[in-house]
Amino acid sequence: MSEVLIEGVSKRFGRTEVIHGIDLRIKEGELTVLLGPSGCGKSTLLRMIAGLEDISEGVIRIGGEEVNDLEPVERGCAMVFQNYALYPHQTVRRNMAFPLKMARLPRAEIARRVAATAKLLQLEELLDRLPRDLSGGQRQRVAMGRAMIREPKIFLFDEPLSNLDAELRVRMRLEISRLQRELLATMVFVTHDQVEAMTLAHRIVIMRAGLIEQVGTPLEVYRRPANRFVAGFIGSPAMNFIDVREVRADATGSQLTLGDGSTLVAGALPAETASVGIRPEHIRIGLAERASLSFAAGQHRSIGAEHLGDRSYRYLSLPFGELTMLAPEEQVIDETEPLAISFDPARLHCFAHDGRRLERAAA
Amino acid sequence: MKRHQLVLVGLLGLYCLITLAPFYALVVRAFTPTVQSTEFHLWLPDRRPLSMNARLGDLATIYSIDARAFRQEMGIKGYVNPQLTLAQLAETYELEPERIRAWLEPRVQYNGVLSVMEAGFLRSLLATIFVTGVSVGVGGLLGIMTGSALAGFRRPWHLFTYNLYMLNMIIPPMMVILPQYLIMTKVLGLDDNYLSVILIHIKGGALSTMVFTSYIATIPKELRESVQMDGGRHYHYFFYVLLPLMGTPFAVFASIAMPWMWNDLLHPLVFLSPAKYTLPAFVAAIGGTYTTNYEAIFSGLMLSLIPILLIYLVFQKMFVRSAVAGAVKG
Amino acid sequence: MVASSVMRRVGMASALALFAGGLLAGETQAETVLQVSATQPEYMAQNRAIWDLYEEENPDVVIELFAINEDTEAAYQARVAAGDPADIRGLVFPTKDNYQTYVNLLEIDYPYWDLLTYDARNVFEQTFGVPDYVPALNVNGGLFMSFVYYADRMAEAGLDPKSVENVDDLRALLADLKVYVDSQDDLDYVLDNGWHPRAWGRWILEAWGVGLGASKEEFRQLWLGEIKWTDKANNPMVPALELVKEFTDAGYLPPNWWERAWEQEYESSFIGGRSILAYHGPWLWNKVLAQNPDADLDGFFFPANEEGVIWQDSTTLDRGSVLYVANQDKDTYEEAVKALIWWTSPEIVKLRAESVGFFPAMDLSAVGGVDLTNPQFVKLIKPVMDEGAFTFDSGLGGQGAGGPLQKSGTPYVIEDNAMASVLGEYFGGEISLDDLLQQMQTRWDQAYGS
Repeated sequence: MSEVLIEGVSKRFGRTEVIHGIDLRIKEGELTVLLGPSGCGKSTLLRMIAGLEDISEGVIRIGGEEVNDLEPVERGCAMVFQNYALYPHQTVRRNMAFPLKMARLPRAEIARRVAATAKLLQLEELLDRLPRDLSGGQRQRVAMGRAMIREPKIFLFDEPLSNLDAELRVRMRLEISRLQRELLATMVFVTHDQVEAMTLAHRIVIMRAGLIEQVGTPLEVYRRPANRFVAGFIGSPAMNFIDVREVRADATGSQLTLGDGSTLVAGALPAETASVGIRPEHIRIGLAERASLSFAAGQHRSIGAEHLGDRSYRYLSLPFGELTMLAPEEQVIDETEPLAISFDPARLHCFAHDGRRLERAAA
Repeated sequence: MKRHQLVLVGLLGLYCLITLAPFYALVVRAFTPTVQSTEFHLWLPDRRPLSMNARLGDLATIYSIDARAFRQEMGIKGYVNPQLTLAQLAETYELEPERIRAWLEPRVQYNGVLSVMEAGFLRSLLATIFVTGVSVGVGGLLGIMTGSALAGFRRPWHLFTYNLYMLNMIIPPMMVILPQYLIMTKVLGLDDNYLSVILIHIKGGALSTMVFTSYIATIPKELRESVQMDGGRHYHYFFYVLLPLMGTPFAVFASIAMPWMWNDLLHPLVFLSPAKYTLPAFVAAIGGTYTTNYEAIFSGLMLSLIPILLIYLVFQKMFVRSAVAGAVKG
Repeated sequence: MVASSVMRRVGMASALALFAGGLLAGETQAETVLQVSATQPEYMAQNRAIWDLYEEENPDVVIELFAINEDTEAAYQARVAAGDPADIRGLVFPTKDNYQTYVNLLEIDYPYWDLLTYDARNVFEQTFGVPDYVPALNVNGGLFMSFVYYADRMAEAGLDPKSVENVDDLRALLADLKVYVDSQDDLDYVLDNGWHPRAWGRWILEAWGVGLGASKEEFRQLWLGEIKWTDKANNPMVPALELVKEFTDAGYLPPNWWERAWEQEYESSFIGGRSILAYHGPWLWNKVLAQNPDADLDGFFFPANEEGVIWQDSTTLDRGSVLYVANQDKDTYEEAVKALIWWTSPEIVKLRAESVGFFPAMDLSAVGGVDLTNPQFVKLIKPVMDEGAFTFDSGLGGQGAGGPLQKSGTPYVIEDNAMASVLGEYFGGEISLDDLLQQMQTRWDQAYGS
């Protein structure tokens, strides 16, 4: 049993509280990603699970057992650090053997397990090298090996890929996924990179300022962000938000009055909607969809474009604010011509004044 | 070779010459009779042969010759008037003049080196190696321990403690010599004990604290946490991870502290008796009030330079490493 | 890898050092160990030979003889200040600032007071105004300053220094010698000398002053303020100052001699044979003969004055041996007292005087008199004493007599390195005699005036 249960956990450094009473359940055999901007407390939470930080308040249980007062090693956790923290003067072999040496395993057993782990991670050729003679990816694998070798109940990763270049990062992501599947290990992975989170995670925990904003699978948090913060944080480029001045409902649906006084007709939206969000990939040029907005020549202005190849992100300045949209590469937007954009009202996310998500009534 | 290269080599040669010239002069001086010590010599000057008209006492005074050893060697029992000349001695005690000459001649010819040796140079050298070795070793170890506690100044009192250590650096040793002497002799009972000088060398080492604290601060804290995660105690971290990383700062510390400890004059003079003097005190004690055996002093200086030069040569690699440490860290 | 091998090397070195330290730690154990400083560092061997006798007589006592010189003095003073001085120290110059550190020797049962040839019991009062206190026990008689020369070279030059009977003879000798020196490549100086604060401040100017007609009494009056330094007609030092200037101007004394270091330049040039005439105390004789035992040295005094008086340094407590008050409660104190009494007993003073060649300030007739064989005594002092034509005045000198007036911590009038340049200005012709005397008067007023 290696489920991690976090109950009402707070962390204070001196008088500053950085984590404010968090409840969280990390399921056994899942890869859970703690995601959030820097300073949100995700690393602190991880270190509290590891036992590197005291728990100011609340309880952490691993496999049902309270671990607040246990040493890291007694919690059955292993950790991979951002800078790998390999022991610089020890060979790869001795680095990997170190946890077993600390556990006073017999020599033969240590050798056997080092060999097995090295094979799994394709480190056999490197066993007698020093960390300084390894590449970044190799160091990363050694760090993983050292974490794995003790067969821990839980793996903790503290932004382990952020020191790697983009290509290597993708490969290591796959590698971690593979290992996770093979070992059926419980993993907690801290990152600020949402792509990493989306691609790796079984479950994402989005944190902000010491609180959990949302817990869910990658698709859940993408499709149904719990609030405006999550909606803006997940997805790249970020979701467009359009402030709504007034919602008027009639038989056909809701009429929204936007910041500049223009109106948008959409399906039935909650009356307290204060802003709506739409992802760039859900906006079309022209009047293809039900909800649409039209702009006269001169009312819209292009402020930039990011070309991806067949498609590109267009950044537009519109009367009610700026808008990002994904359009085919060949699509031309001429400032001297009128422009119409449209989208499926079902793709609209509604947020209340306090940023909370508003569910639409079933259509 | 191009012309500017020639000039460069020439200048470097000149620099070497200027640097080495004092050592050469010192060697020449170590073999120059005191009577000729005011003149500048490029090579060992000739000296007068030993005269049988020399008085034993004068030889003892000017050449630091051990009259007691002379009496024993010649088998003379009882008191001998030091004002007797060698010829008179030979007559009075029925000694072969050649025997007297054979014993004294080399002591006059190589007076500096021999009188320094006979005055106990080797014993003093061993004492210096002992005191310096233990001081550097223990001082370094304590510095590492202090540094590993203070590195990063994680608590307010860390900085306070660090500043206290630094304060230690600006207190002139002469100012605290009395209280230190009282503590050593009256409280610790370390009268005439090498331990007292060692304790002085390692007490509140500002240098070691500074070097190790700043170096250890650059070691990622993850290394310590990793040991913790791997089930190691703090001493595992200390011995398996921290200590092996201390080669470079230790070299920095040793290369600065060692000459200072080696050359410390004041403390050995105060805390030790002449029979236990370390080298600088030993050399200082060679001088007289009105007469000075410069030959012996220069010989003492020369001989006490040799060991520390050897130490530097042996540990050269380490010292060079400490110099380039900043460039290749990682 | 490199780091660990370095650590191993350091470890091995420390282990070796520890082992060596263990070897060094062995120590002789005896019932009583007395720490005794040599009377002068250069006399360690001579002192040792005599203390060996004491160890033979007292098998329970070990004498740890050690030397204190300029370099080690400060460290020794730290020990004294910390209350842990040696048991006996030689070569002490007690003053009214430091005498309380030393045991009042009137309180030990010293049996030989009456054998001392000076008023040892009262001289400290006379020199420093402290009554009933004898902080040190001195058996060295006042030293003799004299001309010293290489007789063979003088003969070669056709000169006979022994014939000098008055100051004009001296002038003539120096004039002739200058001609000879100028003709010789290996000779640089006529009358060799250099700067030494005590030699000039206390000895030479007073010795020459006495020879030029003054008495030690007049010098005492000068220092006691009864004669003004600026009183050119009566200041007994003025003729000596003028003579030195005359010898400087004439090129007899080395150019800028007040800037020459006493040991490294002056003594060395005489020992090295770059001059054949010097004016010095007894040590130069020994130094020359030690380096060159076959040197043909001889000497003569600065001419006596009309009364036939030749200056001799006064005998005071200077250079005496002391016990420390701080040691009085220690177990070794009784042994130290015993050893000091032995060290200053007639039999031992005789050995001490003979071994290093000082003129004893003690009546040694009971032990068969002293047989001094040091060169200055044999060649110069003994013949003059035996002849009996002159008397030596070893009475209190001016600076000694002025002691009771001197304010604590003030410098002497002339015995001060700062005075080298001041005297140099006068001898070099930059200031007048009046200016010099005025400066001396000012210094006296500051240090001795009420």
